[in-house]
Amino acid sequence: MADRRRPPAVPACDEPEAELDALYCALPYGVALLTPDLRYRSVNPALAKLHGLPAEEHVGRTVAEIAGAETSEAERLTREVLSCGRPIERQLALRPPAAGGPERLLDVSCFPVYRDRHRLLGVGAVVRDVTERHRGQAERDALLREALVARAHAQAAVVRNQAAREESEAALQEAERERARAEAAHRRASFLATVTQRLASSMDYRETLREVVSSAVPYIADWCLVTLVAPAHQLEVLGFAHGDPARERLAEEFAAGYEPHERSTLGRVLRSGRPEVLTDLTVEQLTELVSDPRQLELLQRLGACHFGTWPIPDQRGGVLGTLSLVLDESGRRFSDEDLELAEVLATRAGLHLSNARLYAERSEVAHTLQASLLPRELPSIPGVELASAFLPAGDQTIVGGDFFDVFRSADRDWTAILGDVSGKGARAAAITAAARHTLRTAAVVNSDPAANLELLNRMLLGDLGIPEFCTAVCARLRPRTGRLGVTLAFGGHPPALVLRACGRVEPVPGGRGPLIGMFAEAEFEDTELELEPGDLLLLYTDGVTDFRQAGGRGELELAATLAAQRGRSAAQVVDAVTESALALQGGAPRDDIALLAIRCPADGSGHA
Amino acid sequence: MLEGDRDWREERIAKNEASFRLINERLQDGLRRLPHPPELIPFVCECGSRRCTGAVELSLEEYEAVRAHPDRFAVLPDHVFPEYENVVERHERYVVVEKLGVAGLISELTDPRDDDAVDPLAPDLS
Repeated sequence: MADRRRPPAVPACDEPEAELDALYCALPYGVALLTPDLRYRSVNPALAKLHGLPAEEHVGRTVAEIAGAETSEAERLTREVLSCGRPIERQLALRPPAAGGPERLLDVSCFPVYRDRHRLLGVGAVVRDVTERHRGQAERDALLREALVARAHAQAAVVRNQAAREESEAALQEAERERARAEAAHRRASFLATVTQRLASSMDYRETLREVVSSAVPYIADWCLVTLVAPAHQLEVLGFAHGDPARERLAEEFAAGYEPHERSTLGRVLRSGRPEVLTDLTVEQLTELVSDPRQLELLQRLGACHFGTWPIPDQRGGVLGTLSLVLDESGRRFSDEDLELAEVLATRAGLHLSNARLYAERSEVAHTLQASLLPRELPSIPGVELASAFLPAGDQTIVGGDFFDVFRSADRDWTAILGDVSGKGARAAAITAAARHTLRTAAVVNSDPAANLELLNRMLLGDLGIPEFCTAVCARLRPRTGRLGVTLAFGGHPPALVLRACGRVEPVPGGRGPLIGMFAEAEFEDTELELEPGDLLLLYTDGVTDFRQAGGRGELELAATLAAQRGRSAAQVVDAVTESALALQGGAPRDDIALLAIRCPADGSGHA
Repeated sequence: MLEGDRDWREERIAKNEASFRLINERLQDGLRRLPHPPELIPFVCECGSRRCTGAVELSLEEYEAVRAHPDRFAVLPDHVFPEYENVVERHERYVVVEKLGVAGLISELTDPRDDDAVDPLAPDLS
């Protein structure tokens, strides 16, 4: 409830005018009363101080006279009040000339003053100096403005720092990815280098492809399968490897029974020559790979998830087989690099396979041709012991030029020939065949070895038309009871050696002679030789004596070896000489080696 | 530069610029509340460089003219990324660029004057 008690009594003012005057003078704001013609009637001390003039000096003067030329605004304000008859408040900036000092900012409130509500006494004004307050406000505004700007730029700096951090992190991540890529590339290069080395290490493509399959697991796949098209067009699983030993048995069973059908993925790859990669295999896709229910079950148990098949190309645009790489539930997927690597791997396997097959074919041809240039077996000559050796040098795909033969050339006579055609390969093989068969024919017609060599010389120089030459020794053997008469002729050939029963080694006179096929006027000479029981005649090609380490001492080495074979059979002597020659040449002959030992048995018997 | 790197960089620049625009919007909003806003306001340069610490001085009117287009930004004269933006206005104190491609899309998505705008630094903006 409202307090209804009466307020304390206030004593009446004895001097109300004086009291009002005191209030007027004490007001902290400037107060002025202007006459209707806008002259000062009175101002209080506060306004007088603001104007810099005593209060009494205002009376009768206009606003402009007191406040200076800059007071047109103030004067306009008072006129407006007069004209509209309502109070107006406005902020004015003044610099009263009498006060001096800086401009002051004033809040001015002007209002009309009436007496008895109708009679205009003039215009009242209350003036408040807000210069200091305004300055403080302006300073606060400036500070706030600066703070806003500073905050904005600080926030921008935070954004930039965050961006820089993200960029730095991204750069680090990219560097890490780059490092991982470089490592992967290095691993791939190493893998390919290893595979290439393995492929180059042997021409046994079955073995090397199995090794390639093994090395691919688990590097690029969880299991790997190589299938080749065999010559009869059936498919053959050549190699299989699985990275999980626990599943190896299943994998082996799968590989053993893998018979892809014509419409299978593998069949399509073989026909098209283009790789196919099946990812996230469905049961339907698995049946595209295999049709046999047991195979399908094995494939499912092996957990095949992604199955890639690449053609193994040959050098003529055909397809030799396929390379299949499989990823199981390990979660791995084929990357672009894996797919590229698989293609390179299949291409290299194809190159190796083509080379290996070509090598095998050429080796077979060379072997067959070489065999045709040598006797299948030496004849059995009563009273004569024979032994021979032939060691081809170097590449097995190239036919050598060494040859020898022993054959009956008359009722009781036999002929032994041994020669060396210059060069290797098909041309040498042709000359070798021609030389061998020419001498065989000549020996039947003519018993004189020198004449036989002359015939061969003429044939090589003219009839055959091949600019090649050869060396040869032709020996006519005349077995007699307990002895062996021999007539020899040499055509550019190293001298034969005789190992006498006593152990002495003798070079047969007449060795070397003119090369066959070089000179039309070449003359060959016969040399007569008599082998006593236990004596051995050794015919050989220069592959036995001419080698780098020999330093010209090859024939001496041979003689020394032969000298140590006293009393040994022809076969034993051939073995010993062969072994010594190989030892002196580091185990691999630099040139073809052909040896023919003809021995007169010590007991007069003889066998081949 | 890889395509992925370029996309990332373009997006990063666009997000930076959108963030600077948002900061400038807050700045102008604050300054407008003052009784006597300054004639030239040192706004944050809205370029995409993370090294830029510059200020673009614009009047509120100039600022408003730029902001009238959601894909335009005010940058210092030599702070233009020609591969991501076109210069549409050149002034002595600043250049107005218009964003292209992904950056343009991000600019529009993050326009602070759009009620449905996305926070430019939201991780899922892309």
